[in-house]
Amino acid sequence: MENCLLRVENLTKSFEGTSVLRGLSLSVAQGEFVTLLGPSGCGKTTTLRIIAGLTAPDQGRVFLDGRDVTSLPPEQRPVNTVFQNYALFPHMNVGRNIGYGLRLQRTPRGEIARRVKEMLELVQLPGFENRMPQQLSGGQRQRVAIARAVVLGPKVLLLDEPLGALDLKLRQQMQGELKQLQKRLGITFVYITHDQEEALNMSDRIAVMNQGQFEQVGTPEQVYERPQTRFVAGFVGEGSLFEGVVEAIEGETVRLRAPSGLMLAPLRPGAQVGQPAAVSVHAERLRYAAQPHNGFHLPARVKSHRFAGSLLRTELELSTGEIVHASGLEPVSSLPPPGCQVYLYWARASAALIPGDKP
Amino acid sequence: MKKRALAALAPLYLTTVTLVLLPMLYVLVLSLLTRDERFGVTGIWTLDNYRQLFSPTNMAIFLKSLKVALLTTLFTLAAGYPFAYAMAARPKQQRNLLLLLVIVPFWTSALMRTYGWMVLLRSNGLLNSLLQWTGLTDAPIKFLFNDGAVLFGMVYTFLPFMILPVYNALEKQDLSLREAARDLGAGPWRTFLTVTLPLTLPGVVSGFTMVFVPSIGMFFISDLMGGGTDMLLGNLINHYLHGGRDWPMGAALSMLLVAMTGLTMGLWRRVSGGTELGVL
Repeated sequence: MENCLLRVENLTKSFEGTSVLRGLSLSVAQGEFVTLLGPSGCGKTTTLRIIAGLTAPDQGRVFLDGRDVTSLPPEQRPVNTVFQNYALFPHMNVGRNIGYGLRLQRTPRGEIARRVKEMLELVQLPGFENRMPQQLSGGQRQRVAIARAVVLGPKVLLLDEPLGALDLKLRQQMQGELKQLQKRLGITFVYITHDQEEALNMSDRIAVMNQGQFEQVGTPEQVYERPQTRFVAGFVGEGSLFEGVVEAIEGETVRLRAPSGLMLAPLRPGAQVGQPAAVSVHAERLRYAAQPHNGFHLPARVKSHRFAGSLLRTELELSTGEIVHASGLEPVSSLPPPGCQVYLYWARASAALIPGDKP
Repeated sequence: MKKRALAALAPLYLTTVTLVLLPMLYVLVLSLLTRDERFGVTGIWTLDNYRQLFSPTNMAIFLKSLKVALLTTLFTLAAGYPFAYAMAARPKQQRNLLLLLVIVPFWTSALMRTYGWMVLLRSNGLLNSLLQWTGLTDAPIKFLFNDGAVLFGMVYTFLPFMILPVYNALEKQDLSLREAARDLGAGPWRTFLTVTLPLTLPGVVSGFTMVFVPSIGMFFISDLMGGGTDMLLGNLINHYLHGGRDWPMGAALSMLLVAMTGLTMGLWRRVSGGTELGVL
């Protein structure tokens, strides 16, 4: 990768015999916003801690700006972290918290005060210097933690589920602010979350992690529209996975035969006639009609319609008894009532084929 | 509402009054009476006991007691803090085992344990026999009956009282705070001095109290391990109350002890910035 700023190579780590990272490699470009997305326990926090220098990898290397920093202690790495619980020093006020790193660098006092003030304005907490962390709300602590890490001008800012403890409204607001902050400062962000919406919202690239490995690394669009593995398909977005066998390949289209019926998906390298594969479709792309659609034959029965905020979620039962979900904006009055026999389909390009056998 | 709160606090006040205040008053009254050969005291009020308090001999003993108590506290801190730190850094299961080992000595009386040390350390004791048997020394080393032995015995006896509150403070500390300090550029020492230590200060203050206060009045350790030749304040009080049968003088000395302790604690509180005296 050109202008690669951060690179981890082949990281492995196990704790008390349990393998947490199994050979992880990733390159991050200058100014990029990369998110490690995965369920809890997938090793994303361990990866972040290895980059920060708080945990030593069993094997593998960490490069920053082309320099091998694997054996450097955290205090010597040009990297700062926003901790999950913020880790604000409870015995220091906001100003001293933010100025902590600057004081260690023996920055002149006036300069510290000036930069702390600047940072507080940046995170929209002007005049908060003398408050104690205990007097702040969750969102305010979050901002102070970011200011404290950013004031040192790190090459890479590591953020460990920084919005995890905030309520939904505040989380959405902070997502926007964080993204703006990142753009304005031009700092490379490595961001951890288990919330796929957060990842899709903010990232330039997402690395989907599972059991200590990257399942897929790509732009939010790629990860969402073209999941490469069954795990990614299941973890990102809400959708259904149909397991079957490739029956025919016609040009750019693959026909898959599943126990529940016949369906189409765009061709993917690796697909072969007669070989197993899966098709992933997001709920909002799943359609249904009274008659089978061209090339599809997926009979199902409407089980129920349910309001889920702005969307209407429909539960459908396939002939095999499997349940799939479709979501749409149509009013319930225009939809077939529960018990109706329907046929599922989708626009061919909106599905993703995942060649290969089920692991 | 107010009545019920008062009722709930009644046992607390009751014990404080009967077990602390009344005995203290009794001692105060005793200290203002005159000694009597036959009955211990007679009802003649006097301030003589307090006048005699500050004789040069007594002053020397006060100063020495203060010195021993302070040294004891400092040594227990110097040994106890690293121990508590190491203990808090172990995995949970090991921590509980270590904690148990710290507490086990409490299962026997401090007096017994002091005798135990004497058996080990005396001239024909186990340690000396071992040293001579291995040929490391020719003659027995005089471990006992000196100031060092007293200090050793005090530090040994009071060490758990320092370890426990400090460990308690360390164990509760959020480890990510230390990691944050490292992340922000502080080396291990800087991290300790700017984050770990300040945040465990309440534990240190608590340990200081729990070691200093009882050690200033401690008498049997200096009696046994010091050989009883060199007196501390506790020995002096013991001497007047038992040996000399001069209760008023003993009571006056006790009042002085209370005053000294109170003064030191007040001073320490001011120095430590009024940190809450957190109990275990």
